Amino acid sequence: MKYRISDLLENMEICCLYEKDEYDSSAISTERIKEKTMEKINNSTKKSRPGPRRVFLIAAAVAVISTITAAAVVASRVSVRKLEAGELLQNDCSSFMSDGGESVITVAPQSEGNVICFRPEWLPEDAQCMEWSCTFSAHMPYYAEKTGKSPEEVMKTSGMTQEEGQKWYTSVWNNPEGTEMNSGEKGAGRFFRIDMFDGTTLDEMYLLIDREMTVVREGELNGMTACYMAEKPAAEHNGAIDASGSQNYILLYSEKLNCMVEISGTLDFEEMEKIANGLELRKTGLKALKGSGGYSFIRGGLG
Amino acid sequence: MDEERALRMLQKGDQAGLHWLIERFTPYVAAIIGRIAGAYAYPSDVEELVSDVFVALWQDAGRVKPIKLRQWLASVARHKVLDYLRRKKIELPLEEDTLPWEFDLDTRVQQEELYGAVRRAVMDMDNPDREIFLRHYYYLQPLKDIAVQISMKESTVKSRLRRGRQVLKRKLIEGGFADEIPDQ
Repeated sequence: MKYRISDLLENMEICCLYEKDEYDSSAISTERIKEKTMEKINNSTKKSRPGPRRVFLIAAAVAVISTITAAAVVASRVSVRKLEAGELLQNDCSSFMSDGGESVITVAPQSEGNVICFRPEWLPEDAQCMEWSCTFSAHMPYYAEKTGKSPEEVMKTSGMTQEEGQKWYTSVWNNPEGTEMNSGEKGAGRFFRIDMFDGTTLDEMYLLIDREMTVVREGELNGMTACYMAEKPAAEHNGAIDASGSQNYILLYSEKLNCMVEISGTLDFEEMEKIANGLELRKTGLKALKGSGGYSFIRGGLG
Repeated sequence: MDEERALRMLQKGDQAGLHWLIERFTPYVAAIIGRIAGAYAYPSDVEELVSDVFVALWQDAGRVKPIKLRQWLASVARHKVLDYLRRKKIELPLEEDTLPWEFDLDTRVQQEELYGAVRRAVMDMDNPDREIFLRHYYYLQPLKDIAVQISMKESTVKSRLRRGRQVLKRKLIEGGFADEIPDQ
């Protein structure tokens, strides 16, 4: 595969770059930017049905998981309920004001969990990987800083070498430096994501989704309970047709490792199953950061 | 209002959130686009590109993580302006960028590892080498412009850039991504 040097820097994060302001932006009018932006949004909206749709069913899907897997363990931790209009979900990091009718899943507090890493054996070559994950090694400086330990000590406790750590990935929802950004653009083609939720990330986690979903089937993949979900066709977001097309989801719950993996994107289920079956999970010796437990992950409703 | 709250408003379809983000980030996005497009775009073209970035933000709000908002804007802005230059058939010649480096990568995972190794190698460079490297290969700035901006001779900029390339090549070879990467 051939790469130009400039292509190799494509995924560089701007936070890494110098930010001297050399471009004179005084000729750029913010008001005109607003006008142009709204004009383009309105033009794209005319082609779609009016008004945003907000249906949140992922919670129900996760509840399905809880009933078919180790029910005694999971069901006792999971509750699902409908929000009322004006109801506020809030924690230290975020808040969400309900329009009414959204479902919310609350996972009962788990005091402990370990950092779980994943490594895919197969990924589709012709689809864009949109991830908020980073290598285990890249996450270590942040983890060390948060725990007040040296990176060397942390790596030792994890049970991984630095070299191994570069080959395993983990999702770190509240690490601003370690996470890869979601650099994809809509309409760029097929895309997918793999997200990992460890024990403390599941702690009091709210899962909502801003799209209309149907549970397609449940089963088992790679030793984990699997729930297949699909968006209804012609999904919309903010009133505009989603050019990237409807998404499929497979949620995988591992009772053994106390974690959940979410595979999502515009791939078909057969491809997602192939990813799931080739997915290798590894429990590290590190306790999951408490901070991630306080983070409400509300897909589509709130970051 | 803060960035997280504004994004939440966007995700709920509230235009006030978008207007606030446009107010706050237009200079930032315009600066990235302006640095790359430079003399090749009129201010009206830059405005079009900046508005395209915010349209993408509106449509993709559900996928943007608040703490990564600036990075997301930068990445989309760079894609937009490079696409604009391609459509205008404007080529910005870069040092040793005409013949691509070749890596034997079989999987997407290996490709991601390569990007990670490049990122680490660049971040390990000392300044001003890193700044020169990024100015040239990320912002596509000509050597003579970089020389003016950082008050350095063009020949010095060129040699520091060469040193950056050598460091990158060495680290990628050490990382096992290629047995050798020949000079062009």
